[in-house]
Amino acid sequence: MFIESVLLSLLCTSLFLGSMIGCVSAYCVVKKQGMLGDIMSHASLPGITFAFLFTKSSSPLLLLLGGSISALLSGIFFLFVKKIAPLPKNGALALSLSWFFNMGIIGGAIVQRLLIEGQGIVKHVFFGNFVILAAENTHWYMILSFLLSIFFIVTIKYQKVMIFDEFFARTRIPYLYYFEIIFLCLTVIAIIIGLQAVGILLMGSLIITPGTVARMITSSYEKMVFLSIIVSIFAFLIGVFGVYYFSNIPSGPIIALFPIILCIGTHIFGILYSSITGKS
Amino acid sequence: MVSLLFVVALIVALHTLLGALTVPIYGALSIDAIGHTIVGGIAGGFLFCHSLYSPIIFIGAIFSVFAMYGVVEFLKKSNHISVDSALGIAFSLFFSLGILIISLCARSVHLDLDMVLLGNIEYILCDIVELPFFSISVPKILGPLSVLLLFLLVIHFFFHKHIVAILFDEKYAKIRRVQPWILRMVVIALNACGVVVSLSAIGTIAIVGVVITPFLFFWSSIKRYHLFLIYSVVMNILLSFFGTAVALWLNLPIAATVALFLTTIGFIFIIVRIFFTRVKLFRYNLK
Repeated sequence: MFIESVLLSLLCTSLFLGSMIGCVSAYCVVKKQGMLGDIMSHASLPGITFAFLFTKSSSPLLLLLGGSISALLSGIFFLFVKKIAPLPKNGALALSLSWFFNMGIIGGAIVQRLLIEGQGIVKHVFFGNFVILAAENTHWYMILSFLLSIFFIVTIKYQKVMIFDEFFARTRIPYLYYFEIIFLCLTVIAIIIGLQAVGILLMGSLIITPGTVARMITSSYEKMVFLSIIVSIFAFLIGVFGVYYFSNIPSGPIIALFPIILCIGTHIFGILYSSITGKS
Repeated sequence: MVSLLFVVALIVALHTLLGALTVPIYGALSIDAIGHTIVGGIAGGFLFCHSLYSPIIFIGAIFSVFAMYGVVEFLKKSNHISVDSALGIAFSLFFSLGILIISLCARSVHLDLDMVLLGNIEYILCDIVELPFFSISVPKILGPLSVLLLFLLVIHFFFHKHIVAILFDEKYAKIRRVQPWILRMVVIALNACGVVVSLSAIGTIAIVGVVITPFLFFWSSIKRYHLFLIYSVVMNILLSFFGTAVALWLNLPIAATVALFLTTIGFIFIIVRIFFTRVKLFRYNLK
């Protein structure tokens, strides 16, 4: 009975998480910020470890707040380096990734050395663990995910203008710059909420893949968001059932694999379809 | 202490030279992608041979990197997938498969994900072998590291003009009948070997830090590629010694501290350089 209630709670959480990640993925893919999402998920590690180190509390909300701050800082650091430093392609991203992740590793080593109680939670953020998610008050995740999804869906027209016609957007939206910052912050929050299920190392894949699959199927942005939500919800559901049946594997790789296979499958289908029918 | 510094110097030199080839062709994040992909290759190789010391592991790692670039090229054919997204999707595929294989099939052996991802140079120094004619003990990792470094130096020395032509003017290289795809294949294979050899000593993301730092210092200021290589290797080795000293002094993980130290110094350097260039006090341009 207990296991069934946990499974039900995880299924509900995965629905909300899936819809939120789907919205963010569609936005990031079209805005060509997929790899930035990957870097920001890696860069949340120092925030999580140092939040744990200084507060010695394993409260997920506190750790995730630390993670959000460092992920946001990494995004700002990337934009700054990109603007000032003449580096080859992806150089600014690589610098941001290396600096923040190595800082996180050092923080993790200090946590390990000090033998602080409850440090296992820091270890679980690497590959994700749905079981830990179930042990906590999942309603916080659901509420936050729901609010973020609603915000992304309501502002879909603003996103379209911002992504596809920035000059027009500047004439129509008075505080466009602040809107972009708000979307960056919301992307960070979405990444951080998804971290516990997917893990730092594979969260980037989940930001890139559902949106890419949707982009390969349709050209309409609204349909793309809808398809991306469906793909990520399915990915999370498969992750929940995978963890339920194989308890000794982390949830991150199971969740990440489904959209990747779907993406490659869609591409193969697209090639076959265009070779048979002659249409693109 | 001497062997530690020697291993650090060799690893840093190897990855600096490899990075100077890889970053202009494939971008800086390709090193990260290769490091993640190799987890899948190592796990796949382990499934075949059930031993961590078999050459099949090595072959599996190289094969996985080639397969990853195959997937990238395949996905790039779609108009809707950018190169970065294709790279992100391809390496995540092999990395996820690798973690699943390790979690399901390799639980009972010492194939630790922390070791593969983060590295542990202190452990490497304990894994020693005695040289037959000199009766001295050296870390096992020195053998493959030296061979790879020597091979890389030979390539740079004998094919320097071809490499420069391919990196900076591919059309000219084709006119001179130099085939870029050969260099691309060699770079992929060498990267795979280099990352496999040094993965247990320094993690993937520490390698990214080592690779990107010389570009912060010299990329826009040195006009000659061979000078870029020499300055990069010397600067990286010296800074990595300081990083190692800091790590030992503060009792921190060596690889992460070295990478953090390198990137921090590189970033401070570029800020100072921009400041001095703006106020026109100093013009930094090496010829």
